[in-house]
Amino acid sequence: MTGAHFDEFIHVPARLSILAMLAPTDWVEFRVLRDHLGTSDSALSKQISALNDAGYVDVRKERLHGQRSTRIRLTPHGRAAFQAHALALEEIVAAARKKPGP
Amino acid sequence: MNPQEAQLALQDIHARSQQVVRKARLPWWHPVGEAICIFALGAAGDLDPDGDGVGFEVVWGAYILLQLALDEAAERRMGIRLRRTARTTALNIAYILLMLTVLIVGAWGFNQLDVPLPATLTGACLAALTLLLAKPMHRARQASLRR
Repeated sequence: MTGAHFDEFIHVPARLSILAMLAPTDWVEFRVLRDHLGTSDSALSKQISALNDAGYVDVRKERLHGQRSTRIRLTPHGRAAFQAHALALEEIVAAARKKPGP
Repeated sequence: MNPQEAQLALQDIHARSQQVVRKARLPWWHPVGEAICIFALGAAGDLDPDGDGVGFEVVWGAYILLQLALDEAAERRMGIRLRRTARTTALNIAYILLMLTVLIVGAWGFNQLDVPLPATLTGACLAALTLLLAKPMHRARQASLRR
């Protein structure tokens, strides 16, 4: 997937925010996503599960020094889909700018 | 999807990406730990100049392991590992080359000047450089990830 592709599944605001936060990283911990998105554990879990089921993110749970840690990362498929979606959005905006005014 | 909605979605993507990159701020003890490790590496060169004691491999091995442990601890603290791209790799290579240049020039220069503890002095120079460049290097790495 290299070209622009509008993805209805990604375009849900909560999912788009999660993917945008994961894009410049290798992984982000669940607690960081939750704190920055200002959402509840259950609401974020629901979106992460949906993205995981779609193969867009990978979830790894670890227990280190008695503390639980859940790391979320974009899969290559998820990264490609997110980039294609962002490109599609850019094309929509660019097309509107090119249109001559009334 | 109308253009206004697309524009708002793009703005949200940009803001969220910036937010997570800004959040990835190294804890203060990371550059301090790096500086201590590099100073200890230099001091080890004077304590055991021929590598007859524990050996260079062990000293360098311990140094690399400590660096990796520091990176892992910092990432665990931040809850984020920033992506490694071609630009961040190029930046890291430039940093390593600069440090190696200071190491070689420093060791050669202090030896030529015949000062006592040349390796320790070189280690001190590298430690100071590590502390000096910590913030600008981290900012440059963050900037390289911005679209």
